[in-house]
Amino acid sequence: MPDASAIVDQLVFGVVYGLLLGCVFALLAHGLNLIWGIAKVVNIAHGEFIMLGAYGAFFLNLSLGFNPLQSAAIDAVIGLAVGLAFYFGVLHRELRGKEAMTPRSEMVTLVATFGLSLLIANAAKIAWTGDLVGIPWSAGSVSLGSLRIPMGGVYVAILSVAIIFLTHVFFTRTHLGLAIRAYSQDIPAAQLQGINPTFVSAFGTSLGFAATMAGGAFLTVMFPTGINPYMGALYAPISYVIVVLGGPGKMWGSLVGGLTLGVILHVGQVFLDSSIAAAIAFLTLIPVLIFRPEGILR
Amino acid sequence: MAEPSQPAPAEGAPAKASRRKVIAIGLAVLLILIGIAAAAIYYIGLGSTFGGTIKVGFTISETGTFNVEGTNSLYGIRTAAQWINSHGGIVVQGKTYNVSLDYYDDQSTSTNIPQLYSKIVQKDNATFLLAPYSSGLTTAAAPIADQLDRVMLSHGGAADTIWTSTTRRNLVEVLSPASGYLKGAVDWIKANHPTDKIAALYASDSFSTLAGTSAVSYAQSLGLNVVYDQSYPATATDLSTQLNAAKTAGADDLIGGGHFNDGLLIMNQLKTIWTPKFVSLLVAVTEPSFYTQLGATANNVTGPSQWQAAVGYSPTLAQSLSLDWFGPTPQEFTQLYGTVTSTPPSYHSAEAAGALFVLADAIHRANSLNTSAVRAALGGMHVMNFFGQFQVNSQGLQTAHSMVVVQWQAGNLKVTHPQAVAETPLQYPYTGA
Repeated sequence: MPDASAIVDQLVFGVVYGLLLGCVFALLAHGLNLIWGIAKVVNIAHGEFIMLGAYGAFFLNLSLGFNPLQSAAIDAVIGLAVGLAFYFGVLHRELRGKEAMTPRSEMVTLVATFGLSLLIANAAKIAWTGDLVGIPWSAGSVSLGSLRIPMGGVYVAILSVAIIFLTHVFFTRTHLGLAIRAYSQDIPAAQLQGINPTFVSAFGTSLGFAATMAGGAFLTVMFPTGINPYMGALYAPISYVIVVLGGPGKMWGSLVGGLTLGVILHVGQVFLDSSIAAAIAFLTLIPVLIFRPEGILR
Repeated sequence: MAEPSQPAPAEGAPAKASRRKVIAIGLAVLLILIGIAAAAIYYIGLGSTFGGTIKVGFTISETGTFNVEGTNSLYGIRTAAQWINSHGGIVVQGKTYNVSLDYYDDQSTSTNIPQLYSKIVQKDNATFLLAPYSSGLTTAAAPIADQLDRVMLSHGGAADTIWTSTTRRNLVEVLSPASGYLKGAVDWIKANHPTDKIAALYASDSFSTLAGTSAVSYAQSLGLNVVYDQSYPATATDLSTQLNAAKTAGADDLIGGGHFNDGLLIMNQLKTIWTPKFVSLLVAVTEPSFYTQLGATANNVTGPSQWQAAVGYSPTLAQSLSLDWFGPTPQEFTQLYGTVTSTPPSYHSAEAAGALFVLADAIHRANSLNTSAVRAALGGMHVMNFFGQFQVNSQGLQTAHSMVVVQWQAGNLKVTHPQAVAETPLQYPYTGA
């Protein structure tokens, strides 16, 4: 039976690691939330874009020696381009000229993004095989008493929160950001204000992809092995759960949801088998949906 | 005016030309006849000794979780087939057979196994089978060997439960069983640092669980203090909580792991969480890519190995033990392996090659391609090849092969235990760099 101080040590570790991981999870969910909030599209291929971000970091490390923090910036730029391609290739035809998302459009975009997810995952499997790969990068650690904190985790946590914060500033303090928000709230009213719906919608969606792919790069710091074509199947559900926990469309909700899930996952493993801890983390969704369907944040 | 006289043609000329033509044709016909006769003699002669090819079928993990171990196993099998075919093949009832390989990528996924093995036997007509890599995939393949009546040799499925949980008629184990994998590490701790506290953290697949739980029981039976004993899902991507728990439990040494990718994960996460004094991990450590991916972090990490070229199995050793020898020496195998791939052979390469040599030896001894005859021959063999000794019990479980403990030292993998075969003493403690 472990003594009380050992349990306290493990709990502290679980909370700290959970918070670090939660920040990265929050960024992944933030990307999904932006696309959901602005274009009103549930991107089933979200996990595959996380995977592309992780592979981007892997190949940039392999070919140019970039660490995942550097790669995340390049991934974000690629994400913007991918987002535009996604918008005009998949969404634009269905969304243009519409004043609101119709059930038919919802179904079309759901099926289209589902097909896209299969296409991307299998294309990745053909191109890069199903082998698990990872990035051998470590930024060292700092000791606080008996606790060793990985600096790589600290950096990606800070950067993840910074990206969410900057997005918040962009949407609340800039003309373009306010225009995107106006579009997401009322398309006809936004158009009456002279806002180009296609431009703001495409740009907002691209921001979501940039955040998602940068998050994929950060994920490789938290999980040093495990990049593979099907990793999206693990991280997409986590993103959906976080968005629902925090509240769909709520930017800071993603952070609250991510931190909650990260801490539950890590602290749960102190007492339980890791599979059971993961199941419990997902089960938290049920009371939230019953008692606070709008999410933890008001 | 008299016309100029024409020279009279010589009478013998046409006859001479005709004779030359006849001789030339005759010689040509003779040469053709000699050629035909030679070819006939060659083919008749060949027909009497060349029996054709023996198709050996298997699936291997070229992609997926076990891609590193699977790819190295495949290189080993190809090397063994090359050696057998270039050394006279397998003689059965006076006829020589070459070995041909029939294999598919199982993507490290057990659900692919039944369909692929059925295809290998029923469509491709493979006469003998090798099992896939890993205990999980071997468990999935084993029933097919019995259903379709084919001998199957296991080279990467070491979990004892594959044989002990049910009756296997045709599955024969070539490598040491999982229950013995970590015993060498425990023995070393007991002999050198008996007060060390041990943490056991292992994957929850059948092989790793058996290796981990057997090591824990063995350590406790030796009076060692096991302060942490936990398993994790084989597909885990984060073990930081478990490693920290092992550390806070007061453990000095870490034993366990599972396969290559989770072994790498443990090492990567240890960098920032904990520096145990002694680390011994299953499977991953012996792969050359363990060092290339981790660099100096891999130094002083130990692991069990089914085979190392430095452990000198040889015809002389076999003779001294009154055992028959079959196949190349370890040096010859390593040299030939270099023609198949540029990386040095790992123990996965060796155990897979060893399986094909054992099969070839058994077919030769049975003097038959019949499944029952070859299975019976395998059951009665106590032999040695470059991979070590081979003998199985009535269940098909390996009883004669022995393992060693290896350690990365300054970028080189050294045999460090048991002392009788050690190249160099085991370095302690692990420092993380």
